[in-house]
Order: sequence, then C-alpha cells, then structure tokens
Amino acid sequence: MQEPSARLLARCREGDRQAFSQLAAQQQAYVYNLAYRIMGQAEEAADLAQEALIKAWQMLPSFRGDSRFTTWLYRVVVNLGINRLARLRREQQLADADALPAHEHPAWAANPQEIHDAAERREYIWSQVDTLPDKYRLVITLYYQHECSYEEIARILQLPVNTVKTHLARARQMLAGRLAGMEEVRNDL
Amino acid sequence: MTCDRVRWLLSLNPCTSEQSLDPLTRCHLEGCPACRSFQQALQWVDSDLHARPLAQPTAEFVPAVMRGIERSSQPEEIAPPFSRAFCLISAIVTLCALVAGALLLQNGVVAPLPGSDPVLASTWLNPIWARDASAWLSARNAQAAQIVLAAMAGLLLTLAGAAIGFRASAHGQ
Repeated sequence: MQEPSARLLARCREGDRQAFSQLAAQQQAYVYNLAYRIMGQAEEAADLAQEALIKAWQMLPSFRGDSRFTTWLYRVVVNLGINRLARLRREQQLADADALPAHEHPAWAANPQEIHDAAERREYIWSQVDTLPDKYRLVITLYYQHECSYEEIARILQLPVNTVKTHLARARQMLAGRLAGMEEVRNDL
Repeated sequence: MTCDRVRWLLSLNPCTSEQSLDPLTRCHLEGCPACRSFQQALQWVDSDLHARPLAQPTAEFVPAVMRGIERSSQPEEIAPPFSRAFCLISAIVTLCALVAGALLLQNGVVAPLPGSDPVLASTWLNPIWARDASAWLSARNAQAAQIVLAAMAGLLLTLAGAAIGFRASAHGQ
C-alpha cells in the first residue's frame, strides 16, 4: 500500500487533474485488486475501480484527513462495491444472498493435486480466497494484499476491530484447513 | 486441549512463531500430526497471501478514469422545459378544446326559448347546467354567459390536455 504524499493530495484537492492522474496511476492496482475481490470478475472490477476513483475525485474536497487517504479511498471502493454487487445480484435474481458471482479461476485451481510448487500453491490459495464468503474475502485482501491494520480494516468495513480479528482468524482457518486437506490427499497418493 | 481449540488459537494470530505459543498448545502440537500439518498449512497461507503480486488493470484504466472525470465535471445540458411530444399533444388538445368550446358556444348553452323543441332541449348539446346558468343571468346577459361558459369549458379541457401531455412526455424521457 503506497500512501500518496501530502503535496500530491493537496494538489488534487485544489482540483489539479494532472495530479489526480498521478494519484490514480499510483493507486490503480490496489483499487483494482480490492474491486476484483468484491466483484469477482475482471470487467466488473475495472468498472467499479473507475467509478470509485471518479467518486474519490468528486468527494476529495470533503476528505478531512482523519484517516489515511488510502483507508478513505478503500472505503469508497467497498461502499460502492457493496451497492454494485447487490444490484448485480438482484439483476441476476440470485436466490441465495451469499452466493458469489462466478469468479474467474485459473483452470487448474479446481484440481489441487496438480499443484507442484510454491507458485502454484500460492495461486491455489488465492483461488480459495475467491470462494470464501464476502466478509472473509475482503478482510483477507485488505490485511494481506493492502497491508492494512486491524483498525484500518475496521474503519473501511465499518466493523468492530474484534469482529475483524475474528473474520481474519476464521478465514485463515478455512484456508489452512483446505490446504492441509489438500496435502493429506497428496500424501495418500 | 482439543484439536479445534488449538487450530483456532493458531488461526488467531497471523505469523505466530513457535516460541510465542503457550506450553499447552506446544505440547498438543508435539503429539498431534494433524494439527502440525494444519500449522504448516497456516504458515503457507500467511506467506503465500503476503507474497502475491497485485494484478494490474489495463493500460487504458487511468485514461478512462480521467475521461470519466472530464465528463462528470461538464455542466449538464439543460433539458428543454417541454418535450416535442408534450408540445404536440398540448397543441392537439388545445385545438380540440377550442373546437369543443366553439360547438358549445354555437349549440350548447343557448337557453331554450319558451315553446322550443323539448327534444333538442334535452340533448347533450344543451346540458341542464348551461340552461340553468343562462336562466340565472338576465336575458340581456345571456350572450355574455354563453361566452364565459364556453371559455371555461375550453380552459378546463386545455388544462386536462396539458396534464395528459406532461405525463406522456415524462414517460417518454
């Protein structure tokens, strides 16, 4: 997670589009990855990430600096993402509220026995992250990929800190359990 | 200590080192291969989740954002107060109202003279309210009453037409 400099932020708040273009380029990967974890589809994620950055530009004058800029930005992404996901689910008329949109996994991810090295294991674990319930998936992404603290995650997701800790522990437990299960299968072979 | 309890404790703190575990947990791990396997998996989860590089959006991403900002900052085009459909419907209804008013003026609101044809007096062209209104006025003012009643009918029809036209144009937009 790269926090923009105070000078760059100040220029953006003054309406400097060139500065905001720099800021967007700096944050695009973080915003896009978070959007992807929410939406589960590259195209939807790109749309959400763009919408979030445009919204951030519009709301920037109201950013008071109570938290880090990135925390504020991720909160914008999450809020927009939750709304967009709900709309998408309504449109798709999914009966199960917890059902996830079809995530784009690598083809091999469905067959863990074919994992041979650390890189494949990493891909497998991330593919499993995509199958976690929304609340766990977001906590995992913010903690590991965006390197947010418990307090920052709590602020972004508007949850108590202890709930964030519990979600993270449950998510780690689920992932490790699946990975351990996978290893047991391989040992049995 | 049960396996579930040990696994939950291990899951609570990412990147927990062996030394930071309490003696009971360490003791359980020494005697439980399944939990040791879980602990190993947990370490992989931690390291692999940290290690994944961020996916990059396409090169078009930032320019698309800037285009979106450009669009959003342009003043919105002020929509004309009335659509074409509204104007057309209003014109048609106004014309109808004028024609109806003219018909009423010519045929409808003439108070039947004593001894006139009772059949004609009871037709829709000569409604009772118009006759009563005319009768209420003096014979000298009968012509003025006819004009006022015709104008009121025309105005009511025009207003109704405008309301219908407005709704139609609102639906069309």
